[in-house]
Amino acid sequence: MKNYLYFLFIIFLINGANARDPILSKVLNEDINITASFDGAKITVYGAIDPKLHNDTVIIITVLGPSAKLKISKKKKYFGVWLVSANNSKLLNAPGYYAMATNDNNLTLANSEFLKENEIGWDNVKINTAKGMSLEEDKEGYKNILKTFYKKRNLLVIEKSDIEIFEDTLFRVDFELPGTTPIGEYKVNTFLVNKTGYLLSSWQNNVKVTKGGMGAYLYDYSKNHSFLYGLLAALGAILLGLTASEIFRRV
Amino acid sequence: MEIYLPIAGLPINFFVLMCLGLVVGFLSGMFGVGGGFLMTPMLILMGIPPAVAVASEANHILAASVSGFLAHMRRANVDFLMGFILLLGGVFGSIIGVFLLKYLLSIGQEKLFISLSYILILVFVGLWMLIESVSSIKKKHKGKRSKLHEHIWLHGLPFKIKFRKSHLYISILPPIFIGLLVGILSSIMGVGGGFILVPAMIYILGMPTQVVIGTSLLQIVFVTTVSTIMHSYINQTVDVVLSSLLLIGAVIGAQIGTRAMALLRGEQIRFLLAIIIIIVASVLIGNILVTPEELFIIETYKDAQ
Repeated sequence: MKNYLYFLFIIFLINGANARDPILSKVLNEDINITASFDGAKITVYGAIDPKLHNDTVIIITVLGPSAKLKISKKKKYFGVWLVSANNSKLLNAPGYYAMATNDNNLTLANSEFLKENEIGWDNVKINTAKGMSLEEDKEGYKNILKTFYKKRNLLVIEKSDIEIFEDTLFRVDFELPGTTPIGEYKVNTFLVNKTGYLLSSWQNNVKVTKGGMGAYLYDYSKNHSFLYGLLAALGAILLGLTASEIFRRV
Repeated sequence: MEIYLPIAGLPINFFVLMCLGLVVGFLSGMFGVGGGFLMTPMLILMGIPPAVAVASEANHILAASVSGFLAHMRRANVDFLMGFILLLGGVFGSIIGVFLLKYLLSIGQEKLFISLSYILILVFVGLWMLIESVSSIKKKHKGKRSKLHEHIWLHGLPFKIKFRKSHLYISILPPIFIGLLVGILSSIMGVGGGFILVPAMIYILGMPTQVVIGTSLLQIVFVTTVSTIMHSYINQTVDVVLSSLLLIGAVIGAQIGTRAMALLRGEQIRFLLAIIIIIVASVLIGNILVTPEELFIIETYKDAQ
């Protein structure tokens, strides 16, 4: 029922806007709240393309998480024991999450300039490094390191051909966010390109992932009122300990 | 059901956490130890950042030991003067530990340091308990008894005080030093320190056994209070959601453990505990020797201001 309504809405949108845009795209949930029982969420992107263009175009959707400053350090073996090396390298603006989807099985766009420009594909994501990179791997190696790290934590999703298209015009795709996804502004970019890789139209939507509920409150309180937080934590523990033992002594 | 731990910054399964609390609570009820030295390594193995595991466990131990302390106080099993002297060292030691952890966090070596401290202490205590329990099982068979307490050179140091409750007239330096050591351990390892305090009070200070548990609980309650506050204040690593959840499992487990204890003899219990300690130590040793699954650590950082 819900989906049906969205599709009606899209059709409504197309009728209003088809003269201007060959593609329309929207995000289902623009605010995602990480609460105490959070174990992941979904960014659902849906929209419509001009049905006449369906056969000669490709839809590409990318999701870029909030950019973060990251420090990469390597573990090394000293005297048989694994230690964290003191050298590290710093990335100034790595996206905390990256996902990409397209409806084309073998996306081999000739126009690599376009892919680079729009950060399509993990290899084209622009990351600046801090001066004095000290990582021993080759200078581009950090991207592969980050790739492995993100993949393991489901922070990097590159699955091709997973945009569903209905009736040659409506499309929909879900991007899973893991429980550890960073908070901040996520950029959802939708591109419609022709088979040679030239952009016909694009949309940008934003999704805000915030921490909410009790967890966010506790986190903020622990950072902003550290001493009081500690005092209350100690007091709470004493009270909780007394209550719990009182209850279970009677059971 | 996943629960998001706000300070640790990760979701964790509610039932896994309950079970962990239950098992460690069972062991602590059975063996009469706080269980921090088992809980903290387990939390670290589950992927909780070591600094958060240590600080939250200190908070959990406070909750777990406060009722025991009050029970002993009601039965007049606490030597308050001795407790006060131990605390002089303990509070100071706990603050040193918090700042040591802050330094280790800043150079990114806290995980290794915490693991190494655990390995050292667990191997030492485990082996010692193993030898002690085996030899007392043997002694029982021979029917010999050892002296209650012996005077050693430590008792001859200056600043002697009379401890009425413990029937002792000894220098205050050894208790201050023991308190200091346990305070540091409590802060950097997230343990109450009972497994060191109790033997130290019996064998080094020569206190009578009936006041040892109550007095060590006094020390544990106050030192974990200080480390909870200081960890929160200096490192912001106390996760109250984590420590509260652990407590619920642990309180239930402890009740079952206490009942199970009645079925075993003292030496047998110590022997079993020694085996458990050595197993935990071996897992930790394996962890720092085996090639890690991930060779890189990636974390966010802030610019120095």
